[in-house]
Amino acid sequence: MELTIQNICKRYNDKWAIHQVTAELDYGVYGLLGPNGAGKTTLLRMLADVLQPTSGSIQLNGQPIGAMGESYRDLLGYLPQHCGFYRQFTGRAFLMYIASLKGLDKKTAALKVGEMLELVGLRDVAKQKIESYSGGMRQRLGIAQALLNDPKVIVMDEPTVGLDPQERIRFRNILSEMSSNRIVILSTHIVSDIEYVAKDLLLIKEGRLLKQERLVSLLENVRGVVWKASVDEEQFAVLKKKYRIGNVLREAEGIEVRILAQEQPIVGAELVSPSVEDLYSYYFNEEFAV
Amino acid sequence: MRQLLKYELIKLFWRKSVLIVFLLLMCVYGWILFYNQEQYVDASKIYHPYARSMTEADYKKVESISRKAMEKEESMSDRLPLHELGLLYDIAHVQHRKEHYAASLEQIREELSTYAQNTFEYKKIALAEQLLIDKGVPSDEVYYNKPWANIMYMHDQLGVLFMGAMILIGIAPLYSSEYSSRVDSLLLSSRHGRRKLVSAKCYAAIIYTLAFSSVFALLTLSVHAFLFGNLDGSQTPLYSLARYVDTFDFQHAPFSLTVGQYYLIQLTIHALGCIAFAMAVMFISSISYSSFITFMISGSIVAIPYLLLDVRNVRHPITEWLVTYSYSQFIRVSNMFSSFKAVNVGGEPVLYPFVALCVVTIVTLALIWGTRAIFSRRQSC
Ligand SMILES: Nc1ncnc2c1ncn2[C@@H]1O[C@H](COP(=O)(O)OP(=O)(O)OP(=O)(O)O)[C@@H](O)[C@H]1O
Ligand SMILES: [Mg+2]
Repeated sequence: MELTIQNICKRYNDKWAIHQVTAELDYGVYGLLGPNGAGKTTLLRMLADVLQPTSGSIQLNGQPIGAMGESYRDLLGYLPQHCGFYRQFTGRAFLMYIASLKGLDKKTAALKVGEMLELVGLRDVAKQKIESYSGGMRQRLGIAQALLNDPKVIVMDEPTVGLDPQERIRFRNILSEMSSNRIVILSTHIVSDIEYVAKDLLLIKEGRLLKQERLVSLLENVRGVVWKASVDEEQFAVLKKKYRIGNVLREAEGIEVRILAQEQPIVGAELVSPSVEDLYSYYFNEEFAV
Repeated sequence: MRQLLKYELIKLFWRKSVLIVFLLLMCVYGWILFYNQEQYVDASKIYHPYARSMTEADYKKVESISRKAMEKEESMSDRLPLHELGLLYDIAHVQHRKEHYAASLEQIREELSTYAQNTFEYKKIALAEQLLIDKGVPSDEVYYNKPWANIMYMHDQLGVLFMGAMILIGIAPLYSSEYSSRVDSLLLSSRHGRRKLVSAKCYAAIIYTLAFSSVFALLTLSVHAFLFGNLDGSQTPLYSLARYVDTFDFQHAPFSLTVGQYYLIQLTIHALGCIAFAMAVMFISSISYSSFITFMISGSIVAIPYLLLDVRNVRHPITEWLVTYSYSQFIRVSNMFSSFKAVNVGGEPVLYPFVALCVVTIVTLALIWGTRAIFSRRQSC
């Protein structure tokens, strides 16, 4: 299965939220990475068939998804960034409702709903009203509804928001288990969520696709520009003005700081191997333009 | 589809607001019953001896009773219970309606002679004449149909308000609440979330509407059967329908119907009108993000003409026109049948109820189609 994004653009008034994005996706997990307002949600909504591109096309196995209509949505599982619920429904009733929208018959639906509740760890609260759920529980309910119809194309917008570390790990495991025969696209700000499971990262900035690459090769690009130094407050102030600063660690004997720079920024700074966070600063930092 | 419909119905009926408004309206219902309690008296035995042709002697008797009361300078309603007064009133009306029939026929014929043949006006008046002739000279019997008169009164007084309020409170959130609670992107991205869902919502709205109009009709029927102990008078002519000492709303009705026939017609048209209004609210709901705004817009559509005509009694060509084609008049039904009205359709006079029915049907189909078109192409925000 192949999902092809061809030159799509989306314009709001006179602002391009997505501009000429082209990508080719097959089985596996794709992580969409970008700062606030980059256009991640806009792109994902177009993939979920709830938003029409201004121009360009999205095709599944060569067929435009708009023309496929119901048969595309039948293959789709979508978790919006701000997912709404019927607060008066119980978790189970809500999933049963979504299952009927997805065209599952009653028996399959009951089976699938039970399975999903188990999968996201909501079985014990399935009979409670959604209004009594915490934020993380709602998020998990959202994940569960997206997976009800055993989708082949999974589109999730910031699925890990609000999940505690344990639930994050659970989610990551669900993903890696499913990704062998599915196309999974998800956006996140937390790189560690997808660090080990993502096949490719798609870096988006100001509506444009910067890169679609494996994580290792992206890290390779950043090799040689990440420095680590131990400095005092005065030096730190100077460095902050000149360079993009990564992680800062204040200790008793001084400040340990990571600096992104093409050449040695300060005497005593040493090159270190880049982390995913460094990668993020490298690509999404205005002053440190690529 | 059955599953989808089931959930749509749950969403419609399981709202606290629906229950609250229903209970409030039931209080109003109780209040109307209480306020009119004098009316709920079974006088069929008293009326029975008068189920014959009235004679001059009868009219004279009524006249002398009322003259006596006048001389003593006391109002008749102090001396007589309402239902006995009603009988006198009804006897007097038998005479009156015969005179009125003759007078209107004469007036119509006179008017007819002032128009050239083949003009619309001529045809219209000729139609009125024909209907009047078909209706025939009113009989000179006194008919007892008080249970039905009160049933119609309840439908007339509270029917529009009850259904208007229930439809507004129930259907306004149909789409708006999906938008405002952000569930719409889940709906729109699901397989049946665009086409089948629209049908399910439409059916659910119709079922909801019919359920409440049936509840109202059955409640009214059983309450009056209980209060009067019978439902006598369904075979009597419509023009004789009135409560005790009240106006004969249908004495100018251009159709010769019995009370029972009219009741069925009124229920049917009422239900159609309610469905039409529900579809209008559904359409507004599909383009509005807030249930409250939907509620206000649809509320004004039904309430403004109702307030203008029935409450404020404003008479002006524009308001007249507005009112003639308003949902509230259609749902109310009675004004469609109380007098002769014909509309110019390509030079031919067509009776207003038929025109209204056609207009409402066309508008409603267009609105259903519009809702479908809007939601199936909708982009979520
Ligand atoms: N309905 C809209 N009308 C106008 N502009 C919009 C609309 N939706 C999004 N935008 C603009 O499009 C751009 C991309 O927004 P988008 O929601 O896709 O960003 P994002 O990458 O998902 O951000 P975040 O990380 O905050 O979720 C933003 O500049 C936003 O202001
Ligand atoms: Mg977003």
